[in-house]
Amino acid sequence: MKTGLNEQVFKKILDSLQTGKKEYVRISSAHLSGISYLNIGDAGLEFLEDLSRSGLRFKVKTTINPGCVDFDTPMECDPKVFEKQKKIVDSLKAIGAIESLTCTPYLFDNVVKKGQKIAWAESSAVLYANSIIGAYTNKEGSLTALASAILGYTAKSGIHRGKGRRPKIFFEHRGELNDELDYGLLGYAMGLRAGAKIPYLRLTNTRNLYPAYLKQLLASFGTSGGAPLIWIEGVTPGFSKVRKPRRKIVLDKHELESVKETLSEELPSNPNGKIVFITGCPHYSIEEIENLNEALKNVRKLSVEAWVFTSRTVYLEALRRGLSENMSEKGVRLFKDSCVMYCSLKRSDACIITNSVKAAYYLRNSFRLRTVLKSFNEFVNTYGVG
Amino acid sequence: MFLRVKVVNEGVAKGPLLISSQPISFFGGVDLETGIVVEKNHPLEGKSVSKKILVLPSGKGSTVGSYVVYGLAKKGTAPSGIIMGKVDSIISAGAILAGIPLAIADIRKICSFFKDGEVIVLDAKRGRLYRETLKEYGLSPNIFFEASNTFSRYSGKV
Repeated sequence: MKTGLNEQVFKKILDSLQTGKKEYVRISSAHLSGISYLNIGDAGLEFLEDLSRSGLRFKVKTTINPGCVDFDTPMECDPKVFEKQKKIVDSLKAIGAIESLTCTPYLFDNVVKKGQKIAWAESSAVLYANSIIGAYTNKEGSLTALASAILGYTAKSGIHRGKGRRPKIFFEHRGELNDELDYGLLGYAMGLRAGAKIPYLRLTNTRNLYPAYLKQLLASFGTSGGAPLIWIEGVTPGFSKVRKPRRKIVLDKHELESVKETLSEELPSNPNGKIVFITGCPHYSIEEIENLNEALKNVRKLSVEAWVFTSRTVYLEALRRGLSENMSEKGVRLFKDSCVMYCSLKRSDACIITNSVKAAYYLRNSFRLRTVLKSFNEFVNTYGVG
Repeated sequence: MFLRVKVVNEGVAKGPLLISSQPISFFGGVDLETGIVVEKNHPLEGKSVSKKILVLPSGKGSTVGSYVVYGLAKKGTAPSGIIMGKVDSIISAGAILAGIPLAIADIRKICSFFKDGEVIVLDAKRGRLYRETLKEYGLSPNIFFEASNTFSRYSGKV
């Protein structure tokens, strides 16, 4: 087969997904998913290598999702996996990608503004960009985001048209949302109910409306639902002008509890593998790492390992502020370049405790691991010593 | 006699028809080397999509499926043509990358018109699907395409 990778091929991919008139919008930023070798495998690696040899280059600022290894700790995973992950990143760099290796590009590596038209894959980042920042991006697939990065424009469909932004389902949450896990469960429950519809969300209690918690809400919504945006009352730019659907669906703590049961089980009393607490899905911001340190202040040590995943940029900042040293003394490890779908967890028999609904979903369904959902504070209360 | 199909990716392909009543996930569901469907309990489990005209309602599962379609084509084990019930962003995108002729059609119609395993021609240039009728005369593929196109054009009018 001749590798006919050229702009025409990528334009054809965008065209094939547009019904009716083919129209485009210029984009100024792209973010790619499908970076992890555990995800795209040899098929993806070969394709990206072909692409890097094709002469095509990204036309806009392009960042990439995490891989499955931390490039500073090669001994932890299969050397073959490590090497292939490196090849994937090298190919993408050759095409012009920024080696961001994060699912939170909006924090540093690919900062976007309100009203900016972009083509992002990675559902949690898409939802954050649209719902919190007020940028415009569809939930691009790995390949359509890649095509848009190469072409510098994307299909004028979905969210890029006024009609495609309207909320079609109205949720009201009544009661307390106490921690990041509650927000995550709410997002997951909403996604199950909404399907591909864009929701409008009213929270009757906004006491805990922190960015870190909203991140959990959006990431888990992106896991179970198809829409690229949630209109969050009081948060999303322009929320007051949008016309709300008439019928309201009320969500309460019973709904959240029943969702939790599907992703969380009791820890076995005698687990075969090790127990690991995993957080940083989506990647932690520096504020979240500061908060984590604060929460560990009165704890001498943790009785199980805790792994925190973040971007390179935040990792370096945490080093600079002396946070990672403090954390490692207490048994917390800081990872970069990878997400929770980390190489050494695949085919392991580890039991995972996590505060991220999205992480629980994928570690359970994709890595077939036992998962337990606990908020960070719950975790510290159970496993903190001294 | 031919069936009209909507062209997504141009090209002409020939091969035995392989009809899947269920969507296929190429990532995880199809072996990257051989093109054999490995998804447990899938109607096509154990069958190879290689060099077939694959008919399926839609794609499913991971979007990495696009790269698998591309990878199969590089190894020569991809379907020679694909007909889907609707465009998806996984298989159709992969077929475009790989240069595999792809069309959209009413799957039920295909099932009532052709038999599974029958050698057919997908003309994703003119948007036609027809039986290979001239094979027994041992004509070269090029002559064959020309001849059957003429044939089908004529039949289409009638």
